[in-house]
Parts: sequence; C-alpha cells; structure tokens
Amino acid sequence: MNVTPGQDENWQKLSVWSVLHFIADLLKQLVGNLIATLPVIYGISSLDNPLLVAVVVSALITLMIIYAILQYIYFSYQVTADSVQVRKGVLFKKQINLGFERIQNVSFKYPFYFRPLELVTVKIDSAGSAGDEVYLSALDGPHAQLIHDQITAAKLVLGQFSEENGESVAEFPAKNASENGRRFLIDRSLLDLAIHGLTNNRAWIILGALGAVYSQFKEQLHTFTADLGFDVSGFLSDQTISVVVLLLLSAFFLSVIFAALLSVVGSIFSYYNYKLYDTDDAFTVNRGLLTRHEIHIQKSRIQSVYFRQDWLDRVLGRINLTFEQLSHKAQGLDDVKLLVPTVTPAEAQRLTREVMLLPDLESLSFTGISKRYWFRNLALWGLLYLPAILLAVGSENAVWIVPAAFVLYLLHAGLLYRSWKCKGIAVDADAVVVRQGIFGIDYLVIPAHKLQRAKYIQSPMMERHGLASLQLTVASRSVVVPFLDSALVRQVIDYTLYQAESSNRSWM
Amino acid sequence: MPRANGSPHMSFTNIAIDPANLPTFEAVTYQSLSPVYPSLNTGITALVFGMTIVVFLLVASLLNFPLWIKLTLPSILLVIAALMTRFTLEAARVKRFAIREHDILFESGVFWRSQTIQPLNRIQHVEISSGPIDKRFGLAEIHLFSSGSGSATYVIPGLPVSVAEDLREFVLSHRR
Repeated sequence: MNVTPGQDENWQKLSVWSVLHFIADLLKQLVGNLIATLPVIYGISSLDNPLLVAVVVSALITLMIIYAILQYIYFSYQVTADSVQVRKGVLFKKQINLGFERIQNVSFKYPFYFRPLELVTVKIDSAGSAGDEVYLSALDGPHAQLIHDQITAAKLVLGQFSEENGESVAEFPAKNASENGRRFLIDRSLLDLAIHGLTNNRAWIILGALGAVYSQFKEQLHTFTADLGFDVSGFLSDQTISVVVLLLLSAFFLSVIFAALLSVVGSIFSYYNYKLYDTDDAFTVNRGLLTRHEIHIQKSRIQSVYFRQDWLDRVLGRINLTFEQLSHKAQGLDDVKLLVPTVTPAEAQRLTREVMLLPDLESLSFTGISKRYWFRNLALWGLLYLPAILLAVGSENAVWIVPAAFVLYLLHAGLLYRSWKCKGIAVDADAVVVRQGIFGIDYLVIPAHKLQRAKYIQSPMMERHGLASLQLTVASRSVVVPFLDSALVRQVIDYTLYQAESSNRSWM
Repeated sequence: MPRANGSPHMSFTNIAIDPANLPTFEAVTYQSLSPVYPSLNTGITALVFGMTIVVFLLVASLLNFPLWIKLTLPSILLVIAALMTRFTLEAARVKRFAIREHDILFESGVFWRSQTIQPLNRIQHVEISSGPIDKRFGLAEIHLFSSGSGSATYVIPGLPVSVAEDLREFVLSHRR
C-alpha cells in the first residue's frame, strides 16, 4: 500500500462551532450522571437568595462553556492513508489511533443546533475496544462526505490487499461507495411510528430527560396541590370503597395512557422521517426529529436478523426488524444494531433478502421440539408452586391460597405450552431460522456460513429419549434450541459447519 | 462476478449437498487429555476440602464449640468433600478433544454432556496459559478466541505442554 509521505503530519482543527457539540456532550453526561448531579441541583435549589442562585448558576454555565472551549482548543485530528487520528483532552491528553481496518461504521449526525448552520458531526465506530469511537463535529457537508468516502475507499483497497482469494473481493464491490448510487428501500410514516411507540416502550427517551426536571419541581408540585385545597387523605376517608376502587382504576388507566403517549412521542423523536437506503454494500438510514442521524452499516457485517413481534404487534400484523452486527457486550459496549420499526411480515422478509438468501417464511416447514420440554418445565415450575400450596394447606386462614395458586399454575402451564409450541427450527440453503415466542412469534435468521461455533448438549435423560439441545453461535449472538431430535441436531451441526468451513466467504 | 456479500451466491444451495454425505462430527475419534490431569484436579479438590476440615476442627476446639457441632459439621463437610472429589474426577475424566481438518472438537460435562465444535477459520487468536501448579506437572491449557458475545473463549485444559504448543501451531497454520 502506498502511504504518501508528508501526509503524516497534517493535523487539523475543528470549526469553532464544535464548541456547541462539546457543550451538548457535557450536558448529556450531566443528565446521564443524575446521581452525581442531583446533589448539586438540590444544593442550588435550596439556596434562599435568588441573586446567589443566579450567580452560582451563571458561574457554572460559564465554567461549562470555558471547559467546552478548552476541549475545542485541545482537539485536533488527521485522516491519513490508513487511519483516523485524534488528539484530545484538557487535563488528560489522549491520542486515538483508529486504523481503517478497525472501523466498523461511519455515520452522520445532524443535531438541531447544527442544522441552521448546515454542519455535520461524523461518528466513527471502532470494532475494537471500548471508548474508542471518534466524533468529528461541526464539519461542513462535503468535508464529512469526503472523510466517509476516504475511509470506505481505503477499506476497499485494504480488503483487496489482505484477501487473496477471488471470493472476498465480492465483499467489497468495485463500485465507488458514494451516495449517488443509493436505492430507496423503505420509509416509515407517522402512523407506523405511533404503532411502534405503542408496542415498544420508548417512554424512557422522554423520561430520561424529564427525570432531572421533575426532581427539581417535586416540592413546588406538592405545595401547588395543597394550595388548591385538595386533601387527598380526607377525600378518601369520606368515600365508599367502590368509589375508591373506581378512582384507583381510572388512575391506573390514566397512567397507562400517559405512558403510552410518552412512548409514542419518544418513538417519533428518534425515528421521525425514517428512511432506509441501499448503497450497494451498505445500508444507510436517516432518522430523527431534533437530531437527524445518518447511519451507514456494511451489509457484510450483519451477523443475524431478528424479527421481533409482541402480542400487540401480532394483533396489528407488524414486526420489528433488527439487523444485528458484531456484539460488543463482552466489552460492556452497546451493540450496533439497525432497527427498522414496525414493518409488515412481507416487508421484513423483503429487507432481509437484501443481505441474505431467505426462503418464504410461511412456506418453511419448521421442526418443533419434543413435548418433554413442556413436561420438564411444568415439573420445574410445579416444584416452585408446591411449597406455597403445602404451607397454605397447613395454615387455617390462608387456605384460599390453594385454589389461587392452582389457577395461577394452570395459567402458567398454558403459557409454557405456547412457548413449547412456538419453538422450532428450519434450515434452508444458507438460512437457519429459529422460531420462538408466546403470544407474538419471533424469528431469528442466521446465515449458516457466518457460524462461529456449534454445540451439541445432552443429558442422560435426553439421551434415553433420543433428544439433544442445539446451540449455534454467531458473532452477534448465541441461540439455543432445546429438546430437538438428536439426529436432527447432528445434521444441522454438520450442515452449518460445512457451510462455514467449506466456503471462503468471510463472516465480516 | 457475484454481487455484494449477502446477495444470492449461486454456488451455495442445498440442492448440491446430500446431508448423508456430509462429514459427521459424531464419527470422530477423540483424544484424551494428559493422564495427570484428572488425578491432579482430584488431588487439589481433596486437598482444599481437607484443609477446610482441619481449619474448622482447629477453630472449633479453640473456641470450645459444643460437641455435637464438632461432630456433625465435619461429617457433613466430609460427605460434601467425597461427592465433590468424585465429581471433579469424573468431570476431568470425561473431557476430551479431537482435531479435524477444519475444526476442533471438545467434549465435556458429567450430567449435561456437550460437544463444542470450533471451526478453525473463525479463530481470531490463540493463547497458551499455564498456572504454577500446572507448570509443575507439565500441563498447559489452550485458549481459542473467536468473535461473539460473552462466551468468546474456548478453553481446552490439561494438555501436556508439547501437545498444547503443537495444537497452537496447527491452529495458526490452518486458520485461513
């Protein structure tokens, strides 16, 4: 490879506007560290003198701004022929050297404070150790695009140089990785996002931000209700039980509705104007209301595809589709996943076919697991219920627990039955599909040739009945299908191993 | 020329492969670990329990515990020690491994017998480690790292050092 000399020392500074990014980053850390910040907030709010409060608050804000400016001053970066390098740190200097071969994703963020200025923050994720991701903020659009293209193009060259066999060249198609060739795949309407908010709890997005605010105004809220002359305890003692129950019920439903609303708002905040494009070797996603995100994910890095369906999704006929990449959980990092919210089953399958061969899920014949799995779970849970029942039988005034526990156990048995009934596996060409669920049905799709490891597990009891459990591990996750016919488990292992070992196709 | 990874690769369909003709991992012949390994592990377990019982007896007599405690607790400990030592011996005995052209197999587990198969072309790096006791008895364990969540390492313990080193050479030369 040809490294131009002199390109080595070409340190660049960010635009002054990046100070905004550093301030936002500080604020984010403060909100994220509520335990550390709450005493400070409490201390300030307990000050009597309003003037003093104003002085302390403005001093803190000034400090923050100064710190952000210092961060800007000490931040410099350069993009060389094979790496992105960053020098940063006010008190503790840090140099990050991110080789192109370790870069997992390059994504663009358009935060609301940069949008009037038409500036971009480039986020570069490392496939390696924790805390090594790099943010280059307040770049102008063309410059950001240049960095993105430079990295993608260099990875292309690296790929061709490190892999000698013809197969892997296909991983990096000779096409220029610019955005021109992007093909529209799917977008999500507000209705879709509202459904997504209802079926998935996205309330935490809002609650996280509100948490800090609420704790400051809790006291004021209390005095406010007291000022209205509404005495809750006095009110309750006057009423009959039925009114109290009604009150509690409506409070419960109100809070459910409130949480659902919050969740819908949260979903719209993060997925507003969702658009997914195909850029030949990668997916590109645009989404977000206040901060626009543009995320690029290499298709070849996708290790598994998950179709998630909760009971409400099932009623509405929707699926949350997740493309899963290399897992960083072992290093305590968040996994890089690409979520397509609330699509129809047909759309989910169409999108999955963008990254791998997938037969029609409806026409696949799944092999279920042995009924002994249900029996075993019934017995295990029964052992947990039994002591409660035995104790209740012995005591005089808790006998009602016996029928209650019995009914509960029956309901539980029903759930266990559903869970047993849903579990299954199907193998077709390169796709291993695992089915599971209780009310909704989830599918996990693994490309067989990306297998990292296989495991055959069997207890003496299972051996007697010709059963075994199968564990398949890919780089994104591990999945266990219990109590299958042992001959089938062996066959699946032999087959997936063959796919992983005989092909020279890279799993990355 | 095939398109981007993920698009149909026509060279791979399930029509071409007859499952009956695939190499079966079941048919492999396993190799056992070093004969020292089971006795060493059993010895260590027995030693640890033995020391615990001795320490307990010392403390009990120093602090003047009631006689029934002095008698019952050590006997319970003794039963547990016997069971655990037996289990350790069995667990060490059932461990074995096998090497094929494209993967490494490892079998373990007394109650839940498992066979783990690690393809060589998925191994990212290899490590040989040897604790002070292992070293004294000429044993080493080999760690094979692949990508994946959590259980990313795959350890074969109780190998004679030379076998572990040969295995490392084999893995390194067959990774690609």
